[in-house]
Amino acid sequence: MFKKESDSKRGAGVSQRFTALDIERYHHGLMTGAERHALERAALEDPFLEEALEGYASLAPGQAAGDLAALRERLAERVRPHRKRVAWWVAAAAVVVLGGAGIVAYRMSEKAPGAVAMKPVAVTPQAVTLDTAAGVAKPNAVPSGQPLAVERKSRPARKKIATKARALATTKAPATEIDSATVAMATVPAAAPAGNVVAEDALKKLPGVAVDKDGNVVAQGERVTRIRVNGKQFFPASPKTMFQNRVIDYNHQPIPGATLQVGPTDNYVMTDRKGYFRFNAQDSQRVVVTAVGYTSKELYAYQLNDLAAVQLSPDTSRLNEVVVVGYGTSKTGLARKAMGAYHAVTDTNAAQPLEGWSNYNDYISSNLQLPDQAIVNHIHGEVDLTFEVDETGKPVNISVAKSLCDSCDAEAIRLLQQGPGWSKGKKAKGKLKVKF
Amino acid sequence: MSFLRSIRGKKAESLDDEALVKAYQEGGDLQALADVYERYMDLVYGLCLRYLEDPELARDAVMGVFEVIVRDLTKYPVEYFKSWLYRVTKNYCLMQLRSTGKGKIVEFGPELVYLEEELHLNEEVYGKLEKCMEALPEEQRRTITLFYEENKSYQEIGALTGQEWSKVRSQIQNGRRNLKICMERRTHVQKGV
Repeated sequence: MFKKESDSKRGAGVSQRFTALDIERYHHGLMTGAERHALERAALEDPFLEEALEGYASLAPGQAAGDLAALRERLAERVRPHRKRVAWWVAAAAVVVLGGAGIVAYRMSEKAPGAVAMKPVAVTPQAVTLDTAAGVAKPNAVPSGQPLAVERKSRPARKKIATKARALATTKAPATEIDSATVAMATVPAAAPAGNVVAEDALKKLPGVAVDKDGNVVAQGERVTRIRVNGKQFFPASPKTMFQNRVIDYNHQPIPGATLQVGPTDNYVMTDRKGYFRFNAQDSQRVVVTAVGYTSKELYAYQLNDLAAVQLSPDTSRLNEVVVVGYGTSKTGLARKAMGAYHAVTDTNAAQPLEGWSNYNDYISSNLQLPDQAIVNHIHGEVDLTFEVDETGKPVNISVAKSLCDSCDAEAIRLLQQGPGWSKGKKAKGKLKVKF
Repeated sequence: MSFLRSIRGKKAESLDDEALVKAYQEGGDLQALADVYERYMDLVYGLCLRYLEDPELARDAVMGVFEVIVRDLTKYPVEYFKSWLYRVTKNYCLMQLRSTGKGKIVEFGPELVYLEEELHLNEEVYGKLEKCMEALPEEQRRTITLFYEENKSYQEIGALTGQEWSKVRSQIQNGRRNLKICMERRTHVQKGV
């Protein structure tokens, strides 16, 4: 009751507390229009919520709940009376040990497919299963060479993803009914290089199976999403497809230097000067496309072939970001460090803003008008100005030490001219960096 | 023990943030601090995710921020816990980014977008607001009207106007900022006269 009262005093936004679960429902389209509106409205009033909302966008569905449960647990452990902490440390150690073992086991299992890839020569018969978009396909039987048992297996969970992928990829290959048969894998080079090359070569020799130049495996006209040999996965997971496309903006201009990445720790690929990229991923993987000055996009890998899907829109909130880099020492030095936006350049002799750097920065950030030229051409950078301070504290003899674009320079000069006054330093010279 | 805690828990729920903070500041009640922190942990975690872009680092940061508030709340009086926590969390993440050398420029612009107080809509203010609305660019006015008067979500507005989600959001933010500037200017003019 208390809370409600104090909250309502502070604006409508906080009267309802949104949880990570709400935010997750928002991101995954599970909210009604009214609910979405309520959350958006609250976020507009509350920068904390707004930023958290953005933060959760990168999490996989369902992850937030688990993460927060773990955090609540950690917090409870942290504030538990001291006597009990011994037990906590033991538990933590156990977790570390078990976790470590788990990781080792996981790593080993990850490596296993590579080892399997080398095995086909030694082990017969081989059970090969090919999962396709429509279910499970098996290569045709061929009576030569080493026999391979092909089994039919249905995996509903995978099928769901694959079906979705197929629907969006608009392939219309009918589900092929394949007779249960034993097929042969022709000789696999004994001293073959590891990994996919072996796999490709081996697969190409299976009748009805083709591997195209992009590494797509096709069995009887359907794309194969997973291959198992003797029940173990042949590729690390499902075979990766190479996607080739270009990243463009809404003016159909290429975006160079955009990155494509599956997870934050995975390798990423960057677009070239003309915005082109080649990216290997599994169809159902989520790929994040990011570029400076644009809103990031997360999409399924199979969507990468669609030009409209990899079109990025300018991130207007970022374009409006303004960072003023001040020269000179100031009492707000610590705060500046915390902001991470400042270069600490010490020149106590230079002119200082009369009202201090902190106020001056506020002035710049609230008054800077981003020139159209900078928006249209996605110009980012700094303008450096040098000037002298006259008797009345006005900046005079302003010159551009580092130019960015004509209208950016003009805007920086306007800000300096119309801004608060300066106090003369020993040198009576001042410097100002304005970041666009 | 657990019986005692459940009573505490019920008590904690009915207390507002500031009362819990006070219980910690004056009585050293760490559990009270944890209770109030937990209320905002979802937001803290989201914020850390936004800056650190890694769930594991973000989770560690959530615990790190708690240590900071344990330390700092005994030193400084805090008027409004939530907004103070927001600043502490943000600074903590920025420090993390700095120390890991992931130099990233971070804005301090968006705060300007947020109105500090709700406008009290009396007739005078309403008249000004109407004039300011008229002065808005057509697109911004339409979006703002759909959002505030017809309570549509960004998604629905996007569907109506054929705009991207992010475009809708930035239009609302820019519209709000323009309105705020316009309202202030009008207030100044009136005071000047």
